[in-house]
Amino acid sequence: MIEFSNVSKRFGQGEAVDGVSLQIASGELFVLVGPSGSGKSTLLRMINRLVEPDEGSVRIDGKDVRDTPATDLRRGIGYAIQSVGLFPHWSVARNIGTVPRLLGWSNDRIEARVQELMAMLELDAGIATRLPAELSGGQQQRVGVARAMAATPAIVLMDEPFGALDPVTREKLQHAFRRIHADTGTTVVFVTHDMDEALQLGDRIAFIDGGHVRQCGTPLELLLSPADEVVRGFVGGASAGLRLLSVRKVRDAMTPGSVADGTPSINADADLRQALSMMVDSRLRTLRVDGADGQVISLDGLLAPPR
Amino acid sequence: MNWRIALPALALVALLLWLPHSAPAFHAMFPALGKPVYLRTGFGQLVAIHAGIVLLASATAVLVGLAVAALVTRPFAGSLLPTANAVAVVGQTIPPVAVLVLSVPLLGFGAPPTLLALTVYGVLPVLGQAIAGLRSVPPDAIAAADGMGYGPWRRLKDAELPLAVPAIMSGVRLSVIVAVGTATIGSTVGATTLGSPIVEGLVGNNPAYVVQGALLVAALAMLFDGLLEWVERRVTSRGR
Repeated sequence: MIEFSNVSKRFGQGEAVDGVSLQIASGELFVLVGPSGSGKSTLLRMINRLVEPDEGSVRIDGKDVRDTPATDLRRGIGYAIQSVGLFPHWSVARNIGTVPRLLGWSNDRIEARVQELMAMLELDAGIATRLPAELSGGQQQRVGVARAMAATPAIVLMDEPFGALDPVTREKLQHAFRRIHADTGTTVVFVTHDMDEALQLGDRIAFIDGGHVRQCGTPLELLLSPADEVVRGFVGGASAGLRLLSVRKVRDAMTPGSVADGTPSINADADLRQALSMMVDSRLRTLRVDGADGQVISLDGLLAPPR
Repeated sequence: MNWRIALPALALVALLLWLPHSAPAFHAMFPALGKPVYLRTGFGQLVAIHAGIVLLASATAVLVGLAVAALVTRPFAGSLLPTANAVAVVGQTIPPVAVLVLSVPLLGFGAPPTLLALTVYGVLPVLGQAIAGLRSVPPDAIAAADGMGYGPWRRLKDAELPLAVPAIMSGVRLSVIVAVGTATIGSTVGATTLGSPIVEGLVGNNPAYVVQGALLVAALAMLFDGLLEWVERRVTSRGR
């Protein structure tokens, strides 16, 4: 568990933070979201001591981060940033193996781990010997994520890792990352200014503004009961309804019923936004749900209050 | 086969073999000269001493230049950076012969002042280029290195210096080539180098000596340049 207790950072480089307390559970994908300059990156960087708080403390599993030497602490925490920061003079494989090499792993073990990670991030094994400059932006970002996870850290920090990518590539990486997170059970703290990305990825979201936590909760909580007008303004707007659909699964809104043979079907783990899209596309009010006998998803189901 | 190494090496060997027997040729060119071939010191010995002085001075200069550049680019020594940069830039506008003249009162005549002058003067291009190279390392790479738990020394060794290598190597090449040329001037203060036949030829009105010394210096300079180019390609190539 990562615990911020009344943490403040007044000035110096980066954005200010004012009296923030937060608890991030183990295995959680926790998103810090907020406008530029809100202090979210500063909070993230306090976890691996790239920024030291003026007041308050950050503890990991009860232990103050200041009690561990900075380099040891950082080798145990994955770190991925928007600009990726791959070493341009090292091959993909060598970049991914950076932290294991710092930790003194054997070459065989590093090589095996690099192969495993490249497969996990759907990187073609043939690019292992390439230099970063020879990769696409999406591939570089995947390598950056692989590098952050290389030494199987219990915690991974990600600072707008997908921010510089085009929407299609970003969405692919978000899905891949969600799956990887579910498979590995790593605690992830993820910074973004993109509310859709936060809602898409986060188990829980902390909305940061002006160095304060305005609201902390699940995506559904932020959408259904925003704490104040600022949060409402950020999560709401013209697409508030669609966002609400996008954070709920077909599984959560399906109802018993029957449909005519030949009705298109949708996966129970798809989100309701996709269900709505399919309804519009096929001009039907009700769809069959894959792998759930006797269950359908209907337009009324979409409109019903979340349960 | 690397022609930029092989050709100057062949030329150097050919000159060393031919020059001792070149009296008829130089006599034909300069009939007025009684002694058309330099004999005071063997040409092989001159080349060896000359190369030795250059290597020793350059090696010292590279180490000092790199160390100072690495030091002044650390955040805690940031206040020294403008001074170091100014020294590197302004220092190179001072002619090497001035540095040589200034080191004679310190060390007397002979090889020592030449070595000192070559070293001091050789530091400057390395220092300037290394500072430029280290400052041009992408900040993202440094941020990532810090975030992954690199200590300051390891970060310098694994990330900053390798990324600065192209700039550093251009400084090293410049430094060594200048040293090959400048070492000849060392003969004016009594060092025995390939400058000895040149200086003696100029003073004694013997153009044959000048040609002999100049040919060997040129071949040696091209050989060093070819070797350094090869080193440069090795250290900047991928596969790390």
